[in-house]
Amino acid sequence: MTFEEFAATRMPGVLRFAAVLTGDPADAEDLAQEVLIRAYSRWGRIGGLDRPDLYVRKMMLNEYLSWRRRSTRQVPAGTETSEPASTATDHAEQYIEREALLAELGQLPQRQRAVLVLRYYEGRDDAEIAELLGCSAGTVRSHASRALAALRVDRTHGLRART
Amino acid sequence: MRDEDDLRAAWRTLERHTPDADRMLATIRARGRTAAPPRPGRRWPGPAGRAAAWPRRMAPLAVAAAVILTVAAAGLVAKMVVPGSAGTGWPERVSTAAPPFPTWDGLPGYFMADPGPFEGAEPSGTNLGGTPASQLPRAQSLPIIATSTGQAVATVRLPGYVTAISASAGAFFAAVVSHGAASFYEVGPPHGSTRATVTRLPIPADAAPIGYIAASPDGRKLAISTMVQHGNADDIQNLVVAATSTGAERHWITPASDGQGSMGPMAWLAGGKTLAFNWDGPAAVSPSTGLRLLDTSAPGDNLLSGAFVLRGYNRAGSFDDYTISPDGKVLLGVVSCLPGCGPSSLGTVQGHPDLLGWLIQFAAGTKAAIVRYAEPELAGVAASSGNSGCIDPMWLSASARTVLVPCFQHRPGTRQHKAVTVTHVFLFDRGKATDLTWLDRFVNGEAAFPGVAFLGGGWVSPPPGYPYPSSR
Repeated sequence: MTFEEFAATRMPGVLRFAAVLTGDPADAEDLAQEVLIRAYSRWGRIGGLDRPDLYVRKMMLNEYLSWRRRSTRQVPAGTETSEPASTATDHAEQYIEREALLAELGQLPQRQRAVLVLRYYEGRDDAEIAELLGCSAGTVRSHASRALAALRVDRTHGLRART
Repeated sequence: MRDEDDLRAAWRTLERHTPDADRMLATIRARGRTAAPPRPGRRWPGPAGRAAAWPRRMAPLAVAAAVILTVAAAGLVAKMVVPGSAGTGWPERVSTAAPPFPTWDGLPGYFMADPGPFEGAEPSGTNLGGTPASQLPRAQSLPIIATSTGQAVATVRLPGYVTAISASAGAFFAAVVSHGAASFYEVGPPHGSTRATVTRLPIPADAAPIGYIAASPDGRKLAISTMVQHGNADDIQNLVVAATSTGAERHWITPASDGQGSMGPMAWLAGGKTLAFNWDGPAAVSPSTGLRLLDTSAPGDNLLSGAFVLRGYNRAGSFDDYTISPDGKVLLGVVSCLPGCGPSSLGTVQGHPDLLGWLIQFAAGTKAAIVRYAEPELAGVAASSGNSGCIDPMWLSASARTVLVPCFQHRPGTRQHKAVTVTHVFLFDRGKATDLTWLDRFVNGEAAFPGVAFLGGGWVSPPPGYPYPSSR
């Protein structure tokens, strides 16, 4: 696969992956740019792999997990859209709950967050996640279990069998 | 209770942060052929007493050289003071503690501002957003700001990019990366002129990723948090405390059981022996997580051997940004998320749920808590969690009676109007709030005030029985 083919067909998904993994527009841009520039300079080798997009995702995961948490003082951006005062209560509560869940996801250790992104956003099974993260499937399950417990997610609802 | 579909839906909402593909492609093509900088090796400090073999062996020579240089250049050092610039030569520091800064209305008279964007960057440049090594600045200028006016009274030029800053009672300190390693500099105050002194400290240059630095109140010690390789395992947290006059180092290391944890910013308590820091444990609920104290005069090399001020968990229901007063008796925290973090547990503002961003103060000993400040919403804005609040304090007095805190009000965007964020820097002193409007532009980024560092970056839970206010 040439880089042009990758850019046309796979890059949008990779960029979305960066956005979800980091949860922050600036960090997503940093992560994607950092990794894609490196991938581009080595595309001769990466393009010859069976799944170049998977390899790029693995590069992104490695880069993301090497980041330390940033603690620079920063005023939050606030909510992005104005919620009319007349908005129905259940919608407002859903919105608040969603924002709360996102805040808690942002507080998870990076490896746990990565496991949840790969499992619930990308829909990968634990064996695939283990390969991407370079650990055992048992470790993946352990990370997922701890993260779900911290988030108070009920695993009996909508649980899918995983290997 | 949430379910997995809530999780999937939450992830999908983050797709709004997806970078623009066309712009990304243009950047990649423009920069992609530049070789990435090689990652330098990291040094493993080893057990205490044998730490950093090369620097240790060289330490006597370095001390001897520093003494010789001092004697030879005694008069010269004092004259290497360049208006607005450090010039090209930086003498190694051999002086003792600088006199305290003058004060203004009870506040330190000066602070150093670092707008970034290199805070926390690794010396290898690997986390600089893809900026090729060739494009990293070879020097960076930082202003020293007068607290009374918000104007720069001096600018110091440092020989590399700055990854961390701190301040003692009478001087500023910076970790500066050049040629893949961080060196450490002291910036003297501009006493009575626009001149500031820049002195390279005799602390060994470090190629490990520098997390944070914290100068002791008297400026004699610099705490440096770094990550180091430990065998074949992941990088682990390492703490170095170096004497600023000799470069002599002492190391603390993370126990293997907490190898995946990390330190947030640090702050010295008054006296310069005890270091406060937040430890972010390796697991979702980690017994090692919390705000901890480390007695740097006690023997041992276990970073986590000190006492807890607050135990915490990596979960919601917490203070996200918090600061400890220099006397160690008062904690200031900004409410991040309440236990449960749902609508039913939020307070109200103008009839709408809102409690995030409230500044809470409680006693480190008794945990008695009060609401120090709650920022109102902008007039006419339908309240929504996160549209108003405060962030970590910039400075507080020894007992936290006087506090300098940035707060913000956000007006969300509509189809007709762009979003607006209004910031304030409030000085709270004995029940009186003064808006220091001239400091508004410093609320983002780093501002190194003497005597305090915010300890955010962790999520310390409130103590059991903490009396959450249900409304203001």
